[in-house]
Amino acid sequence: MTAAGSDGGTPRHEFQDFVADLSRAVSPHWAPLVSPPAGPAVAPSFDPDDPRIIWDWPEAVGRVIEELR
Amino acid sequence: MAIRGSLHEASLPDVFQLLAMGKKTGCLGVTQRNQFGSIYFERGRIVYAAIVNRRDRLGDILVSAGIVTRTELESAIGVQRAAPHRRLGDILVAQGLIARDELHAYVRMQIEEAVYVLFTWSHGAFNFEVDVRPEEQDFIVSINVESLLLEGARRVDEWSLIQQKIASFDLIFALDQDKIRARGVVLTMQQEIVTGLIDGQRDVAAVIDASGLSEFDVGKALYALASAGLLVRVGRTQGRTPVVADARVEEHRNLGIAFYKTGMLDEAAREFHRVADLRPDDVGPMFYLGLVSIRQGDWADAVTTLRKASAVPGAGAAPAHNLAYAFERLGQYAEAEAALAEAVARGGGSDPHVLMSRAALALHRRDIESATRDLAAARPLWGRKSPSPAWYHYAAVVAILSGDLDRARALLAEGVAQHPRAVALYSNLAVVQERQGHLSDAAATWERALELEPENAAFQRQLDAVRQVPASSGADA
Repeated sequence: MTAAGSDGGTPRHEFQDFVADLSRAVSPHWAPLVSPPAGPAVAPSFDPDDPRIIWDWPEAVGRVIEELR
Repeated sequence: MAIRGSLHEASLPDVFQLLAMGKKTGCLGVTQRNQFGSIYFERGRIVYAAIVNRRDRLGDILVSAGIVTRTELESAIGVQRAAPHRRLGDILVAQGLIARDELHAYVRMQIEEAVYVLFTWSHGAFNFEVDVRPEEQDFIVSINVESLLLEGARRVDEWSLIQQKIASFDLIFALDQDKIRARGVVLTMQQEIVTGLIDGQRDVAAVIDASGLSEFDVGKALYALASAGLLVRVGRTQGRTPVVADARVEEHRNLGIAFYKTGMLDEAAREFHRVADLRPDDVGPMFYLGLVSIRQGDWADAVTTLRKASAVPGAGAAPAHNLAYAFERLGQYAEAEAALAEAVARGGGSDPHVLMSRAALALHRRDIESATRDLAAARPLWGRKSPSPAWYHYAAVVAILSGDLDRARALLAEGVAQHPRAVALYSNLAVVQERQGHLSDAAATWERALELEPENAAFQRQLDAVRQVPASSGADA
């Protein structure tokens, strides 16, 4: 993590608050996947619990078929 | 983000000026009683306008202007009937009956006429939906709003006069031939056309249709004739010739779809309920009511409605697919899988949305291999068009979960290039850029996301945070 937290840029508690705020903000839109599916294919090089990653596409537009066929 | 209002509070010209000054892109829907019109803006300029259930007058205008004959027009319409995806104008150009530039000028005229008609609406509501664009088959123009305002204001003034004599389009008039003969009246060309059609049978709407003239020109001609005492009102069509059920269904369906496309969801639901009342066994209204529920985030209602739509004999893949999506949003993955399998069984396997949904469900099962396969199969199905933002999103998520951040970054960068307003793509791109140490790139990406959502506090905090990281610690230092 380079953006905040233990890098000296933002106090740790602020960063944790931010994470909590962000999780609350995104969860109604991106539920139920607010954390990625854990499994053998998840590579360890990326923090899979990074709450900033949007895992599910948040909008219906682009996911639904809008013409009857 | 939608902007709504009442035409009592803000006139259409005022709304136009605001959209022009703000260089807005999107669709302005305007409704008055059971009428609906839409005007599309691209960076503050009008690119398309249409009024639902109003007869497409391009052919009539071309006949009236002597560009094509009635026979040539009928022939072109016959060609279009056999190939509905082709535009009438394109057919006429292909047949060498009109040059493309000339056609463009007449299309522009038709669009301007639609806008002028909308200017006369004063009792309805408007709704502006950002980033909604015309259909691919629509002819696109580029009209400066200012150029329409003056003529529009003049017509509104004149129209209010015309309405004193011609209160509605269902009125039927006859001509006082004795007076015309006795006075030796000299008529203008437009008055000649209109008088030739007034027969004590046609109502005003039918005269407009048959004349090839605009509503405004026919209204002006009728006003002049009425003012001279040459018209006799003989009745009105309402109640005498009830609209046939099929036409009513089609009108409500067209209105519903137009409302849906412009984000006027309550109004869309109202129209689809009317269609459902008239056609209880029709899959169409249930399908669209399901879409409305989805757009409103009412997943349970969407499931109920789409289940019914999907169960209609002969229903295709789309209702089953959208049912799967509603189940997915409810977290009912087993039901979503079953509905999606049904969509595939109904021929949806070659639809990129269906494959993308299967990939999304595979990710929930932790099956990255299947997700990768379905996304790879979905991409070419968009043909020459770019894949949807959601496709880029899921493809990048798979790359992230596979540890291939270079690929994720490349996919997201391509995604935002193709879909510059897809905020969710920027957000993930910035996180990946940060993760790879491309801090100035990440800052630029957060800035772009903030331009799209200036009130997003989380984006602002991310941007502040990435700016505080010492430049030397990034890969792009």
